[in-house]
Amino acid sequence: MISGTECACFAGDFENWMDGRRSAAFAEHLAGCEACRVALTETEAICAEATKLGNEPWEPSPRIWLSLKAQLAAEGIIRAPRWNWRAISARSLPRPALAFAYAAVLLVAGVLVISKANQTEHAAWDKEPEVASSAAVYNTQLTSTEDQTMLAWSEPDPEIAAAIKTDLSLADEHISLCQQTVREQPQSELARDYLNDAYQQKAELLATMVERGVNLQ
Amino acid sequence: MAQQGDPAAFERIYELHRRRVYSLCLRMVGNTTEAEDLTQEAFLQLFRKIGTFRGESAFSTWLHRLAVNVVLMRLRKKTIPVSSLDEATEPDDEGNGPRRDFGGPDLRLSGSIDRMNLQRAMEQLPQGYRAIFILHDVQGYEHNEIADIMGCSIGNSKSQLHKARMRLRELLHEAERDQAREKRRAADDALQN
Repeated sequence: MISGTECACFAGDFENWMDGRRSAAFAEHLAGCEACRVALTETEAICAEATKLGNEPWEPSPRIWLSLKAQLAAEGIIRAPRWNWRAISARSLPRPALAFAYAAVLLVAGVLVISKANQTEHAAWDKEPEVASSAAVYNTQLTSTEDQTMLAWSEPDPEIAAAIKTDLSLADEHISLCQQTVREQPQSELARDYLNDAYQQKAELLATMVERGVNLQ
Repeated sequence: MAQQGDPAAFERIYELHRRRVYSLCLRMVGNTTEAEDLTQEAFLQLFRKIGTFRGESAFSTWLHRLAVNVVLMRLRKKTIPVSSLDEATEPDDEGNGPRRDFGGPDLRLSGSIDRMNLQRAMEQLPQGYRAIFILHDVQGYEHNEIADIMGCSIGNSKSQLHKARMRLRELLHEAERDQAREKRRAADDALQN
């Protein structure tokens, strides 16, 4: 049998052989070297299995796109949803209700930002129950704020109303997916960050809705 | 259209490439949450820089270069002692590179190359080897594309792929030996009881 050192000289030929370019020199070497024949057989088996791995239908979670879209919109890289804010009638936005909703969403958004900063600074796993209960509180606050906002909101333009509802439903879907991930991976700081971001995005969405409405008055 | 900030164009790009980028990230880090984070980061970087894309390379190659860089940067920041891409793409010095162990049992015949074993062995590869093996043997990229993605020569890509494959063989042999040892131990225990 040819020694390992001599076999190593054929490394280039070995890879060419794998690519289908078969030299006579390496064929001759293979004929007399059992070790290289075994190596070739095994490598072919590895490559065949690797190709199968490439066919696995892996899908990233839908929340990736939602989160990405929100980030791109926040950075001004993509155009914001085409809401015709000027068309929103001041008459359809009762002022006291809006003032309350606006204050509430700003409060929730603020709490979320501070809470996220604190979690990042003190990322201790022993605070999990605390984080979970905080998340539940934010969720309740957001739901209540959304209810207030939607009650105060009376959008005459069906196109704008539909766009708003779509974005709210996307935000809810995002939150729901993030909540599920946190339940599945309670130790993951990243998953909790995603959830916080999702709450924050919804709070910001509500705040923007109300703020634009107030400014128009 | 994406260069002009059209959301639909961005979504289309994401739809077309998300599986491939996510698979690459997941194969590299072996953790779904982190792979999703890296996928998001890779696309974010892509969309931030999309205005600078001039079409010198294929769009998917450009995107994959970004994704590989994002993943490798993340792995380098981790404290897990994994060898760097630079280390893995250095010429193979005596004693430093993977051993060329041409002996040993035929893995295919003993049936130890299956999806799980291969996946486990891939996770133990140095980052640079892992990236090239995934790009070539799992995702089907050609050496010229990998050279573009990894920023190395075609020859380097071929040589690194060879080393990656040989290292994988070693790892699979090691795993097979471990499994055989476990079986013997279990059989001995059964006999004693």
